[in-house]
Amino acid sequence: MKKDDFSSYLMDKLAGELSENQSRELDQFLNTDKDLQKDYQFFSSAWAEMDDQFEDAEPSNRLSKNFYRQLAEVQQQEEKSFQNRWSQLREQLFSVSPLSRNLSFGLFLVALGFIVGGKLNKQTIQVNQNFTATAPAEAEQFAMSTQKIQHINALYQQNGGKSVEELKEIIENETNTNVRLAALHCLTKQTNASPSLRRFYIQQLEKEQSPLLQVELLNSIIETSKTKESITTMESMLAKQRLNPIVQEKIKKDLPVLRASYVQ
Amino acid sequence: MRNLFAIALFLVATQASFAQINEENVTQIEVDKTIKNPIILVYHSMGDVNVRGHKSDKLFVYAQEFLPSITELVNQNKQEVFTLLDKYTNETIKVNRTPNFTVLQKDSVFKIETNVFSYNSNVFVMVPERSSVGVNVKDMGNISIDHVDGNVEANTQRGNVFIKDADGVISASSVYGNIIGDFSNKARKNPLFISTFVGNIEIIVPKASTNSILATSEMGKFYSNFEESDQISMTASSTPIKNRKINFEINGGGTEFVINTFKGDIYLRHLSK
Repeated sequence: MKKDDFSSYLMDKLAGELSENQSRELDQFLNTDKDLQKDYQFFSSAWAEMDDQFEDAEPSNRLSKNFYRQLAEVQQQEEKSFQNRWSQLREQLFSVSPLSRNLSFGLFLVALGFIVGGKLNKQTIQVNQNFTATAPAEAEQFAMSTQKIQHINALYQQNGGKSVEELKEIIENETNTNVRLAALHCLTKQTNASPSLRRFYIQQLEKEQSPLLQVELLNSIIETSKTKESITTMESMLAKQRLNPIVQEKIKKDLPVLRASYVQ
Repeated sequence: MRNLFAIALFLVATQASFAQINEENVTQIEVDKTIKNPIILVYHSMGDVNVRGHKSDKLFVYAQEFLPSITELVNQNKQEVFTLLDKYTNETIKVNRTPNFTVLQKDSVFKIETNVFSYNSNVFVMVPERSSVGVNVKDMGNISIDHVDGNVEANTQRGNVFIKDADGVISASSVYGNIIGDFSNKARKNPLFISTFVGNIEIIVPKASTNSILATSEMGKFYSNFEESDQISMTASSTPIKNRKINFEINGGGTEFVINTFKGDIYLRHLSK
């Protein structure tokens, strides 16, 4: 050990940080030099006094309270943070399976797509919409088919057989299928078969457009005619080829039955 | 792959949202409270018509084009008015090709008429619940009418008709299409006239409903879940032609139902078990 190293050895010795070998070396060195021994004793006693006079610094109670309060605040802030909440929500929602996660994401995309599309949808087709508060004086009289059907039923109940001509007129002129069917239904219910009525049915059948009316007229002809007349009428209808294909199919199906019944 | 699917989904949803109703194009008309029974008539050339009753006094009309757009169609042919022959009535009719529909009012009658001559043009109408409704589709298109207290008329050439919860007299006809009447919520007190040439007819009524039925199907069958011994009393003629007409009464008879189809089945049923 050299004399220059003494000061550093001394400080380490006082702090108790010297190893046994170094401590022994220091003691041997001090025995050789009286001055240094005095210095060592002086510093040793001074260190001991300092140790007695100064207590270890400890945190005050106030500091302790503030520290824990601040710690709690920081923890709360972290819990409330968006990232933390989102991760918690994500764990709750998607911890079940990747399928539900993907499905939810897909639904979110669909909803987003609708919103974006709705916002971008500025080029909708322009439909000019006119509203006239009052129609011109010459505007047509509106009448619903339900009113007409009720009128036909009332007509039948009140007048019975006397309303034949009016019913014929309705069948000829009315455009609504149900109204004409109702009129035809009343006509066949209230009148006995007469040659003029049969002729009316045949004439009407030739110019009728509605296939359902064609069938009903055909049935009315069969119901009000003798079998031979019905067969003749149906054969002539087939020959004219103006009927709806499905009605033709019906005639082709009915004709053999009628022919068989006529032979009997 | 998953990302591509997500993008495709997003684009599809965006496209689909283009079919959303643009409120700026909805015509809104106030129906005066003094009109006790407004009559709403819809005349449409081609496309579906949907009519629904609601509590308000307002009449809402909206026409929607899908493909091709009406603007494009008009641009393709500048001729705005031309004539053609109506093959059903043999009448010559004028068609206005401008994108347009009008609402005319005369007293209690509101006539909504579309002059739109294009494909896939759908009309949506919301009417006051107390209204009577008449819908006429000249060519092809379905008709749906529900929640209307007044009389109902629905006519189409090729298309289905669906009527639900309508209280008044009903007249519905189609040439090629099914007709469904769902009156399961309330027994009907007014008569019903339904006809279709090729198509099924289904009528749903409450189990306790009292009706006199005249059902006709030339080439179809009749089905019902009303028990014959308890609820149906039937009288059928013995002749072959008349056998296609079935006359019977449900729960002793009552409101008249006239149902006609040529090539289609008839279903009359209740929803009770």
